[in-house]
Amino acid sequence: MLKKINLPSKRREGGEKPPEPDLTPIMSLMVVLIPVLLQVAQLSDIALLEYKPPAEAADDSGGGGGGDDEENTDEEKNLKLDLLVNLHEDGVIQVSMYNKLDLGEHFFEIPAAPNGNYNFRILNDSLYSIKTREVGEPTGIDSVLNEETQKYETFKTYRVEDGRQVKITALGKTPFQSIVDIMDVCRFKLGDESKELFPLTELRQFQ
Amino acid sequence: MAYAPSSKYKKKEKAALTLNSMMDMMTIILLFLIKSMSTSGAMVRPSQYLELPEGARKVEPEKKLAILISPNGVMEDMESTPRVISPANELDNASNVILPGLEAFLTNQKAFDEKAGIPFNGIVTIQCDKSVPYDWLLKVINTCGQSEYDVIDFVILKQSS
Repeated sequence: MLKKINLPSKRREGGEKPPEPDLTPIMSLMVVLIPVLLQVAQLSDIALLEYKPPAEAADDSGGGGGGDDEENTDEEKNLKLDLLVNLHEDGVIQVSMYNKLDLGEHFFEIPAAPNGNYNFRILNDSLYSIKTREVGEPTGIDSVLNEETQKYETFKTYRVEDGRQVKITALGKTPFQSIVDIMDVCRFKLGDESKELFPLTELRQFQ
Repeated sequence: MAYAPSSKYKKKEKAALTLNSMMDMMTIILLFLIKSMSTSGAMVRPSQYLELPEGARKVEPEKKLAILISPNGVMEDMESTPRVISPANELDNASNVILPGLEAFLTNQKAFDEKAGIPFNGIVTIQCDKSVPYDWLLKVINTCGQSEYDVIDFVILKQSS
């Protein structure tokens, strides 16, 4: 025979509830913290443009020494493109290679865009064609120790010693925005960042 | 027949605001913001004293020794009233290839870091106004190079694609 169990009455069961913590001060703290952090979070809009001028080659003026047999290989190794981009005030861009200053294949001018600004699109196309025609495909991979991070950074090597370098000169009044634009244009092919052009820029005095 | 209880004796419940869901939401936002802050490296905040140029680079900023180049000259990067290191007339002076004020500042800074035991890395972060002329920029770069600060990180605004 089943024994009848007496359950507590429903009225008595719902009588006492645990007290809820007062969250209002925590909420006030959050209301202050979140706008502060949101203001700081605007940092994501800024970036860094690294400028590390390539070290001057010690044998820039031509070193001596070396046997006759080594001369040819040395010459090949020291083959330099000497790519130079000159920004003129009137929107004209001059591009020079192998230190040539006579108009031709290795020295040419890019006229200003119809709005009078520098025609960076044509410059980018020209640099891409120079990279493919004069520099060519990479011949190997080299690495250098980054003293700051203590990690080895690898980079491609080319037929010409300075296959990743470009010298930029401009008139004294040229605004910094134009310099940033041209540094960007020289780095990669526009619209395709996998195609590296001349990422090592060197800013120089206009000559 | 049962009678409905009189409204006089009905319990009146207080309408309390439930903050629990609001707290959950706030906690998630807070954690997200703290996380995004910690991944953006040291705090580099665009200075209010100049207008930064736009660029296509996306490298996250990291603050090292920081200076500003504004149309008023080279200044120390400070939140309020930055100290002028090299005034505009020093930059305009054609005979100044190296800026004496900036050179002194960099030398002092290097000596201070050495005293404090901070390893010298030769990196300087520059916030440069987009209208600053190229010859001013070259003078600053030359001076930094002269003081063994060989790597210069320019702070730019990410280009809106």
